[in-house]
Amino acid sequence: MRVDEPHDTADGDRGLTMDAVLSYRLRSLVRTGPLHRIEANKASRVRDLTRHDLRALALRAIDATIERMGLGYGAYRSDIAEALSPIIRAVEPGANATDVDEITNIVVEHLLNETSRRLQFDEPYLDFDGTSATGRSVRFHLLREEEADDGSIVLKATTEAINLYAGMLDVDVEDAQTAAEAVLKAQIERGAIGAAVATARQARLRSIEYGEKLRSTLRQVRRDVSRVDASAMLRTVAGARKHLEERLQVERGLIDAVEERVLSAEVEDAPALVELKDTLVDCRRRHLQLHSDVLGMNETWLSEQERQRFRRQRASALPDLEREVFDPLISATMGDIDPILDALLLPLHAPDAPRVFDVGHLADSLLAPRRREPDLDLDECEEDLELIRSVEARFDAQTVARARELLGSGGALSSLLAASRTADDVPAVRRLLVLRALWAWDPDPEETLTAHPAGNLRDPEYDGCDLFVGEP
Amino acid sequence: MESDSSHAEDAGRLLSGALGRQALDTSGRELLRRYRTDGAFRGIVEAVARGLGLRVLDALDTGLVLAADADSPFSFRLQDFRQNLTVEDRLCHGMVQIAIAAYCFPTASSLEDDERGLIPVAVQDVVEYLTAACTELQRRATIDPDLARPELQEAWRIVLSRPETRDTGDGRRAAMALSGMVSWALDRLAQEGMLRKDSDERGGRWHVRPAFRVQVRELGGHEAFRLVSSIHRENG
Repeated sequence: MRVDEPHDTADGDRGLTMDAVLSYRLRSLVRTGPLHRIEANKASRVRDLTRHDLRALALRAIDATIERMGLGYGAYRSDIAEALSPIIRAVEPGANATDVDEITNIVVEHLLNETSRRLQFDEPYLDFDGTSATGRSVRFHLLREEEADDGSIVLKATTEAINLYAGMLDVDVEDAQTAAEAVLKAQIERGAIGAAVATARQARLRSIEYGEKLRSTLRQVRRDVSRVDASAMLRTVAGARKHLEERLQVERGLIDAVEERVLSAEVEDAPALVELKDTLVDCRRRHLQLHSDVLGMNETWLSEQERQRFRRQRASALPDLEREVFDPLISATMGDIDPILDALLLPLHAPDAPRVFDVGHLADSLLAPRRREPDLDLDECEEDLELIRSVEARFDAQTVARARELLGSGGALSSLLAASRTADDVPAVRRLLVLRALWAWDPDPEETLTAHPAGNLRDPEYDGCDLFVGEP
Repeated sequence: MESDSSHAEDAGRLLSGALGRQALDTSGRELLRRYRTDGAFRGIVEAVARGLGLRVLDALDTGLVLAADADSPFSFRLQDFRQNLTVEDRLCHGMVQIAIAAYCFPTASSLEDDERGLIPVAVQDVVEYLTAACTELQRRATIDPDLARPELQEAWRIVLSRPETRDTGDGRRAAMALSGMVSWALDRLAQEGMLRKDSDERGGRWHVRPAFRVQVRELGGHEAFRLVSSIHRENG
């Protein structure tokens, strides 16, 4: 039987025994397993991938995902295909867009661990403590898909994937950030701008990773505060505050230094300096946001403790649904299952809101004139309007005055139409009468007339329901 | 300072959004943020929920995940599920739903794993998962059932007696074939906001949202385990 890996210390392998260092390094190494597997198994795929290095494609896919996470929410599959396309076409020049999409999907699905239902990668290793060996396993995700706010599906890289890509599996994220900034400072001072841009990108990678790490802790607190060690949590928050305050101060200094250089830069250096500044500003923006999140973490911790105190505690550990529920159930008899079936299924469903019957609402819905549903997808921003010509009135003043006169006396629409016809008014008057009556039917609070149904309309020109029109 | 009634109205609005499975707009996101960060407001939301026979299981980025007590007017009723089913049909529908949950969350750690993101599930995946388990039991079976006493038949025999898929002739799936049942159950979960339809690949493909994991983790897993254990205790 295998057991889960022990938690790595925040200090990496410093101060550990030789055996513990071996174990620590081994855990770092086995995390690269999925990348080697995709390359090793490529011959078993239907598509001929012999010329491609799938490890390179997988690393580039992770890189492109992290890059998009830096710009916004995450990466679409089309972003990954775009990033992989040059590498794919370098070895397969005839590859068309469909080929690129196909290979991209193979890589992305592998990184999602699609064949194992997107469960965590489970990499076994042997842990040796000096006297005995225990079979353990490292479990992690590399990519995951999430639903963005606009409903689209985006890919995100996990902290393990960022670590894997940065090639710093055994380096602590905080240390890596501090080191990257020291290097960056030296590079800017000696004018190695090209190298500084690369270092700044690496530093941004660390910012994203650090953010993911803190958010993961926050998620754990919200989910089950009892499973987070209180003193470790307080240490994390205090450490994160100090770390972020240092980063913000150092980044301010770096941005100032870059800005100074921009002023005296040669034309050819300017684009790289601007990119460097943008990257640093992005890091600073992320750290400011994280700093504000961290400031609220203690409060979240306390309020979650308060809230979860009243939550029903789980009586026992969660079951393995497949082994402990599905398998026994499928081999049980119908006589055993039938009495428990309702109780078995109820908790799997979300609450259902019953509809409340309201006679008034029903009547209004049935009697209201049909209206066009507003198109919610339309952009509602106000356009700057310019009157290009005067609006021509559809009815002349004489027609409007005559219709108003007839409506002023009130009565059934059929009678008003008949009166207009008898008076030999122009047809436009009757058209306006009909339109005003329909307008009055609309429950508009500003309308000065009201209309009520009054049987069938009997008129040689118009058909439909007669309306009694009058003042409210 | 906002009045109590204003807080109560906001609490009602947050719960109403969760019950109506509406995507959060700007004001909904603000209410969710308040729920997460303002202890007093969270207390009001949970008090209103308790009064309605509801419980807040989790506050995900997509909104609150709720559960209803058995006697709540919001509780899911089995009669809403499917009517006029035979005992065998009911059992098949039940096994299909348990198979969906077990397919998506096979292990305890998968129920705890909130880094997993969306999980794809297709009709064909669940049908294959269910029939593979049944076929394995059939292969190992040594005793023929007493056909005169259907209550002694095991679930796997009843599931295998159903065709995997059957066309109605007009391109639709027969409702009582396994693929029809799986499709119906996945569609039902999608109506409840726990899945979203993705494509028609492999008989219809959905994405499992984090809300379904929360539901199964908080309620389904334990309850199912308790009930299944009770069968074993009675038989043992």
